[in-house]
Parts: sequence; structure tokens; C-alpha cells
Amino acid sequence: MSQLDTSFFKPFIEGAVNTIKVQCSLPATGESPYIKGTKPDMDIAIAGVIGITSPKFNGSITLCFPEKVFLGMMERMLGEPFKEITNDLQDGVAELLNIIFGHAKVILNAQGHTIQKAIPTIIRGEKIHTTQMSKNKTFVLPFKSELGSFCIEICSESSM
Amino acid sequence: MAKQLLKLPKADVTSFDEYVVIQINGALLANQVTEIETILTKDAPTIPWIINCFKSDQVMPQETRMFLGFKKLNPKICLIVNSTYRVGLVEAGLSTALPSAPSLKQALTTVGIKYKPKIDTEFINPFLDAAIRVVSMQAGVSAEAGKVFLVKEPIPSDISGIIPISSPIFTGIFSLEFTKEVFLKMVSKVFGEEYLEISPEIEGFSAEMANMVYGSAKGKVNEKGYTLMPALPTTVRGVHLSSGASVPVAICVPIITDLGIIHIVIRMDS
Repeated sequence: MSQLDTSFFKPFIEGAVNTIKVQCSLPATGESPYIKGTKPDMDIAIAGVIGITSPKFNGSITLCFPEKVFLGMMERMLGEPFKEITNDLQDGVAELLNIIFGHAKVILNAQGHTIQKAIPTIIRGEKIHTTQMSKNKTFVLPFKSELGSFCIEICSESSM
Repeated sequence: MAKQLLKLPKADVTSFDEYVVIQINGALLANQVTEIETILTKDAPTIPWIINCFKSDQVMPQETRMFLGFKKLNPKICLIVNSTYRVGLVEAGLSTALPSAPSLKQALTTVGIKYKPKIDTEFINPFLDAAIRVVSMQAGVSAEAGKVFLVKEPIPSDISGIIPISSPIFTGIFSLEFTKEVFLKMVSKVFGEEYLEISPEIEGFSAEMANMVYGSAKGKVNEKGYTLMPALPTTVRGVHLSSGASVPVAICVPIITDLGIIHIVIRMDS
């Protein structure tokens, strides 16, 4: 697999919408994906990065949230209001990403990929910008919810 | 301690105290198989043999004959395979004759050894050596390793290169973390041009460095029976970054250079 196709995006979009709906009781809708760099970046305050390694391809999935959206989601998930992202709270992004990744992994592995389990890295800061070191373009899957927008970035390349 | 017993172009045999790992990287010739069998029966006749063919996807009759041959010599064998290979084994009707497991931990349990995670100097040192070599070579500065410590508090950084590690033996994350000041000094030194801000042109350098370190360490580590695979590095840039992961162990090794300190962080799942 050298290029990403829709069958690869779909499990992630579905996974994200379901996860956010179940965990945070927040309806979100996926918007049309675009190539990273063609639209202005969101102001990301927290992100989770998970690497995909499989015998056929390598890739990376990043789940990015602006601060306001993340705090709002955590409030809905945990039932108490938060003013800032603390060390305890940051694990929330890893947890969400893990659930989304787990969902997508099952579907993709059923299609014949052999994706291994992986650990998400949590990045916290201001104006986070991620770049994947790859010849291929990174795709951004934006989501819209009543708390605001967030996105998933996907990049992959063949390892053959 | 790991001891390499045999190195062939397509296979490695490494002895650990309680077991032997036979790494298969491709099709073997008949005389090479005999060579492996001879060394195994001579040096490790009683301890379990773990055959790592995690990279192969297809069950080959020639290969399975070899494994069955091993099994005659030592009944305590277990294969480490990926899910595609495992399906192949089941289809070939060999899943009971050749026990298989998806990871070293489970393979060892299959042959009756209690697995103790071995993240020790053997694993860390290749990363350290590679980092020192890459930094000193690329930037032309002297670099040395500082004291290793466990990460309890997030280490502040401005830009980092992150590489996921996944292998049947363990899953984790390797990252190279720079502060803005050190990063800019290093990039300026490497490219011979002064940079005052982290721009999109130069930010890829951190992933590039992480990739060089990982690539070089991967070769060394894999010789010892691990199967680290190529992975896609990611650069993360921001203001007051701190990275973390919900994993039990994170080890940091500072690399002290004339330009400042670079932190290497290895996070792992137990």
C-alpha cells in the first residue's frame, strides 16, 4: 500500500465519532478530509500520537485537540469542570486515541493488514505542530462538534 | 547475557541464559540449516529454542520442514509469528505440531519460562552509542552521555522527533527532545547557516536525527534477537511542549554536547 485510500480513513472516522459519542456524550460529525498544509492549522494544545507498524506499511495517527475542546470533552467524560490541562488530565487524550485506534485496528486487520498494538505518546504545549517524515502527504480528517473542531492526522508509507 | 552463537546472511542464533533465539530473515540453504542444527545441538541441547520468523507472512513448506527438523532435535520449540503467518500455519494443519505465539513473552510462557522484561543496558546502550555518534558526526561537536534517570516529571522541550517502537518483544516509544535554543544551534552548525527561528524547513531535522539514531540502534539491537521494524518518525513542534505517555517506565538519557543538552527518552510498556 503506497497511498492512503478511503477504506483506510473510514474506520478511523467511524471510530472517532463513536468513541466521542460514547465516552463524552458528544455528537461529532466527520467533515471531508484534506491534505495537511492546504488549510490553516488549528491551535492545538494537546495531541496524542500513535505509530503504526505492520509488515506492509508504517504510519502515524495523531489526534489533536484545541484546549477548549479537550477540556469540554473531559468535563463531559469525567463529570467535573476543568480549568487547565493537568498531568492527570492529559492521559485522557491517550485513552481516547487508544479506543479509536483499537476500533480501527480490528476493522483493518480483518481486511488483511497486520497492525500491531502500539502506545500513544501524549504531547502537551501551545501551538503544537506535527510533521511526519515521509514522502507521502499527511491527511487531515477534521471533526465538528458543538464544543468546537478537532482533527485526526494520518500519514502512512509502504515499508516494503 | 546475550551471546551470539552463529551469524548467517539470512539467520542469527543468539543464546540467552535460559533460551536460544533463532532469527530467520529469509530462505535458508540446506547446509545452513545443518549448520544451525549442529550449533544448537552442541551449545544448547536442553534449553528451549525460540524461532523468530515474525517478519515472514507466508508459510513455506521448506521452512516448516526445517522447523519440524528442529523439533525432532529438541521438543521445546516455539515460533514467534505474526497473525498472517499464524493463519497460514492453521491452514497447513501445522498449528499443533509447531507451537506459535505472537510475542516473545507468550512464546516463553509456551515453553515454560517465566518472562522477565529485559530492558537493560543491552537495549539502551545501542541507542546511546548511536545518539552520541549521530550528534557528534552531524554537528561536529563532542557529545557524551549524562546520567540515566527515570522520568517522573515531564521534560520541557520545544521540538522533538518521535518514533514508535513495536516488536514482538516490547512496545514503546523512542523520542529525541530538544529545546529551541539547542535545536537552533545544532541546525545552524549542521547547515552552516544561522537560524533564529524554528521554521517548517528545518523542523524535519529533529525527526531526521531521531531516524538516524533509531536506524543505527535498530541494527545493533536486532543482532541481539529483538525484531525492531522500520517506523515512521514524527516531528512535534510547539511552545512549552511536554510529552508523556501512560506507560509504567520511561527512561531518559541526557546527551551533553557543547551546544547544550539533548534528551533521549525511551518509554516502554512492561
